[in-house]
Amino acid sequence: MYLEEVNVIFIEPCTADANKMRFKAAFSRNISEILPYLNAEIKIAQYNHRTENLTFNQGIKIITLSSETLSVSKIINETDAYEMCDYIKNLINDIYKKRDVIVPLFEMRKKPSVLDIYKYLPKTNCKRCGESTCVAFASKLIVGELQVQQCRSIHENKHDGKLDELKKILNC
Amino acid sequence: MGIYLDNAATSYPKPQKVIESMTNFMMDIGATYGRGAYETAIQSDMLIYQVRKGITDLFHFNDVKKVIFTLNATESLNVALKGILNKGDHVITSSIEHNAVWRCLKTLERDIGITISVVPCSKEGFTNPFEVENAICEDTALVVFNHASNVLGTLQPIKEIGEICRKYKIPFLVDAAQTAGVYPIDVIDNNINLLAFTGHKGLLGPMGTGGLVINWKGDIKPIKSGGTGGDSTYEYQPDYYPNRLESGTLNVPGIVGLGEGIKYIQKVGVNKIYHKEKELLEYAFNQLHEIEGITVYGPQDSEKIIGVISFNLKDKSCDEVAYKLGRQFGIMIRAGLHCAPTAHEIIGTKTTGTCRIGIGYFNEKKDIDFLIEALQKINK
Repeated sequence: MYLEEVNVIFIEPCTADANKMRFKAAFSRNISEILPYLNAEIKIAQYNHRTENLTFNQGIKIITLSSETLSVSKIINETDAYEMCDYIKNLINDIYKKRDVIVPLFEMRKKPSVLDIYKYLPKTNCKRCGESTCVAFASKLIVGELQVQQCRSIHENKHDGKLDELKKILNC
Repeated sequence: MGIYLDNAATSYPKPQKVIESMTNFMMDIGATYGRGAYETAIQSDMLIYQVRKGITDLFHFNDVKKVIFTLNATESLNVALKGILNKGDHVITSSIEHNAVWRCLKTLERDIGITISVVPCSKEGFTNPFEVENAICEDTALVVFNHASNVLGTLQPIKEIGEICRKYKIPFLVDAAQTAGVYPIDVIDNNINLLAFTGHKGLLGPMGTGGLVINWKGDIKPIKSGGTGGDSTYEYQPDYYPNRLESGTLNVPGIVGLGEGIKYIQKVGVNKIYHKEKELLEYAFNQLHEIEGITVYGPQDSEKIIGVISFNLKDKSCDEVAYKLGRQFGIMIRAGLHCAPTAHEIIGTKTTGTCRIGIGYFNEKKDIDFLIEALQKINK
């Protein structure tokens, strides 16, 4: 196995807001060689090759990988933290296995803008998500404050293709 | 040390690693779970997570957060029954439930006004799944069944009952106190919504450990409120799992020991454990039938039961037989009603009780031979 362990070294419990719990974990080996491959595969990742730092969102969670550590914010509890460690470990090992068929990406990808998100939304301003406009929804979706599931319109059949595209952009 | 044949009450002995892991935890780590940022507290968090994961693997489940730790199967059943049922709800259950289910249901019937349908079973303890379907009505909010009787060992058609529950969208709660660790359980394939298990029987862990696997999206009102380690300014129980149903400090050393029990089972394999116990059951049935005046209850078919055999000797009380086995021969079995009076009603032993042997993975044929020899001497 390429990466044997992802060990939690810091976790912030008992905080006033469960959404603000965060943790840091150490990889059992340096994974810097695999970061460009992760960058190629995770379409919403922001990667800085010079500082060896890769960040992406998963729902409300913000996940940052460096060559030696994993940092995740907005987890709900300890179980969530350890599930995330397992997920990242499996992700890295999978990418390592497939590295011969992946073209590594060393450049920083252009971050999707509110407009990039908005163009896949229904643009009906139906307000069923609780926001007054689809643009407002897109601006909260991009920072993880809202989830794509909260847009009921996009889940209607006629928007199916757009939903898939949006999920790809948001990695969800 | 004598011969232990009371594994249906609790398994004995435990694998050495179960004991060592608990001692090591208390000596070297000793920190609580979910409440600290220092290194040993984080180690404690990781150990608890690994046991939750071991449980999901063992029961072929996929959501680690929906594994709740409790003190035992009784507490798990209380958490589920009292957390789901409301006034006016109808519940369907078997005729051979342990008091862990039965007393809980009767208390809810008296105190909040639920109604209970008890599905009939054969004298061997078999339930026809169609009887469950026939009992379903508009208010049916839950079906609760034991996986195997602790008196007769009879396995219930869990998968078929689960399919019926799924068809009618009724949650299905299974009491796996006698089967977890000794009989294969697949929560998803068996259509089980809630699985209550204990840690100290087939799972080979210590007493004071158990849990509830929740494969259901409905709400379970917490029967306990208190500290969960996070979100402390919020004045009510959190709505996320496992914290919603876990208040107060967990029995971390016990759970660590349970984890080692599960690792042991996974290393050996549940199927291997089941087949060994089945072989011992077959052997025991053949030997018991050599004893004059013995009445053996239940299906007497190792294919249809787990490692439990109830019997009585003619003109001898079960208490006398169990006492003599213990005092004169060092053989440990259980006598009485085994906390399941309704099962004794089915086999006609509610006033007398039965002797019960509970076979475990660490028993051997020679243990059965000693038992038979002792019973023949008591019979004279």
